Amino acid sequence: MAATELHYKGTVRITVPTSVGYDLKKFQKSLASLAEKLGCLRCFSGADCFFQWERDYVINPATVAVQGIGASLRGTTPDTAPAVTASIPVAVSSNLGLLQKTVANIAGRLGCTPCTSGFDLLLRQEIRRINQINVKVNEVGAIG
Amino acid sequence: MVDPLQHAHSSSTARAGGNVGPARSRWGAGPHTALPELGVGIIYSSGIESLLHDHPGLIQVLEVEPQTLWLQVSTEDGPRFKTPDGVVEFLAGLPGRKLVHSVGAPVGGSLAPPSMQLDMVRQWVERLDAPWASEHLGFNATLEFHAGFFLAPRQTPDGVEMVVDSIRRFQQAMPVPVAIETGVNYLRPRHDELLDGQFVAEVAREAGCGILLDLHNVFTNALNGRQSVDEFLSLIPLDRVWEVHVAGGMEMDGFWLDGHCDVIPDELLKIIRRVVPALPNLRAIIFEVFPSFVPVMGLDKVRAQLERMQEVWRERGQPRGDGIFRPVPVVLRAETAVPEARVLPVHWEETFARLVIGREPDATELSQQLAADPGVEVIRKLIREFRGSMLVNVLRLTMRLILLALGEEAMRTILAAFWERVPPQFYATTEAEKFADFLESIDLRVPHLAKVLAFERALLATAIDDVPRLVHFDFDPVPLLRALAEGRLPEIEGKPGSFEIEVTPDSAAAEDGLALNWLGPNTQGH
Repeated sequence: MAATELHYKGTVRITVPTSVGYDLKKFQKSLASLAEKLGCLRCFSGADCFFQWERDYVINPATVAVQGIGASLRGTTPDTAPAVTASIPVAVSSNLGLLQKTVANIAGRLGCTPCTSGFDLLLRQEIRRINQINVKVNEVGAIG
Repeated sequence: MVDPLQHAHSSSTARAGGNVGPARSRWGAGPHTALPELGVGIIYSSGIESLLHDHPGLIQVLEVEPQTLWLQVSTEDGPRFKTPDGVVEFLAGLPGRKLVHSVGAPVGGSLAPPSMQLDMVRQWVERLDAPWASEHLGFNATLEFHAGFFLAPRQTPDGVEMVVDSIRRFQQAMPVPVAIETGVNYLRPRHDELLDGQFVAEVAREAGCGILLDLHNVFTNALNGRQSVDEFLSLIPLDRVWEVHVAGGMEMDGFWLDGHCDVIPDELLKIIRRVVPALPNLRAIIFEVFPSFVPVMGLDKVRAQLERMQEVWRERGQPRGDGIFRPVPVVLRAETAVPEARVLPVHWEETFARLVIGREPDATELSQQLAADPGVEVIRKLIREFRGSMLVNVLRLTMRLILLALGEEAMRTILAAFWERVPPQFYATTEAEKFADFLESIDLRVPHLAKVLAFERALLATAIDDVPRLVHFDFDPVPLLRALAEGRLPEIEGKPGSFEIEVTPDSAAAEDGLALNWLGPNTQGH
């Protein structure tokens, strides 16, 4: 932990709005972009260097690209406020689109089950999907 | 213990029966020829909007199931429901007329429709300008728990009396006429019950309500050994049918399921073409497809079903010679059990519901009879699939981590233990919260499970109450979350360090006060 503090000098914060958190594809893309931006975390010396000047990260919700902005925008300096924020802003280009996403998140996910006396396949689909992905991962791993 | 989701008000826990007068006279008698002709429609689900916009004339009416678009929130006074800002206006802004089809306050049981839900449904009816509202002729709860499924009511004279009382309560809460939907019954026919069509007919006539004739349900019941379609239709008052539901189904364990999961079967299509011309007061035909099957079917197939129903709609009121359905004489039977052995509706509901949520049969004759009915096992299985699907939909990363770390068999074992301990919940959010509590109680010792669960609990809580939350990590969570989002375990461990994920709300209204202006004034009154 001491080494960590030495590397990052504080807490890294990632801000995730619920619409992104519940949109698995968008969440996945955001994390991939973040991982690229934070890639130098893997590098011992790079972390300090990278976070020295760029402490806030904004992800464009349309492109899911991560943009680094200066720490001064948060009214802080690197030395006095070492926290780093990777922010996924809530604003999207179209409010109609956002509302549609809000509806999509509730309908069939957070609300009650729609009218049916049948069967929901999501559990089985998920099991099949995960099994297929990991069969492929294992195959690639075995070949490699 | 009273299920708070079903019984948010103490007044809503009232048993149906005896306290409600006749339905409002303006809606209480006879067919309602004054209702507007709406045409062909579909149950609203997210993802069908392009059909509305890209194919003008294909869909004249959207049927909205309000409870699927509410959120359940905890308050000091107990659980409440809320409509997220802008949702009703969004629906109202979609092309076509709207109908409101309630899916949470069924009228077929001894528990009266919950007053809080009725109030919310009424608001949706008014705001969407729906010309009528409908509910299910089934039950979904006991005083102790939610059943997680619409279950068949007790089809006896006692049951008729009780159901009529519930319909009147529902009707009195609505500003428009009410229709009841004919349900699915996977149980074998019983000798101590009214015939399916006889029960529906007596209820509709006594309550003075309309009938939402779900032809796929009638078809399903017939395929599974209950009353034939023609016999059922011969018994019900066809002039009370304002609305028809059609759908496709699937086979499972020797049963045909009302799955809303496929195209309309050819055999059912023939029935629809024969029956619709015989319905003098038909006002709408609605195609039902369950949301998670829309991407499986594809929108082209959905569109094709609607086009077929447009053809059928054009044939309404135009009897096609011998092709039209004509009622046939049916021999009716009354309740045959002796009075002391008679199964009262409350006993029926509690016994039936206990079995389908997985509890062991008790020593009563009814419990033993139902436990031996293969339909009970089918319903139990369906309920479990719904419950599991809710969890993978809400706690996606948590479920993936368990599946990836422990495997399918272990995950199913965990789910089975959860289902045994906790009855079904009305809302996916509460099902997820209960499962999260359960996971925390069993301490699975899957690396990082607690943190992933904490993140998803925060996501869920913020989606419901719009309050931002922080989740702390002592390692970089990005590699783990990214891997889970991609459906695999991480190849590398996140570097140790102090990290936070801040989960923030993002409702349209919260982010921009002008966001809803284009939708018109927000008149939401809850």
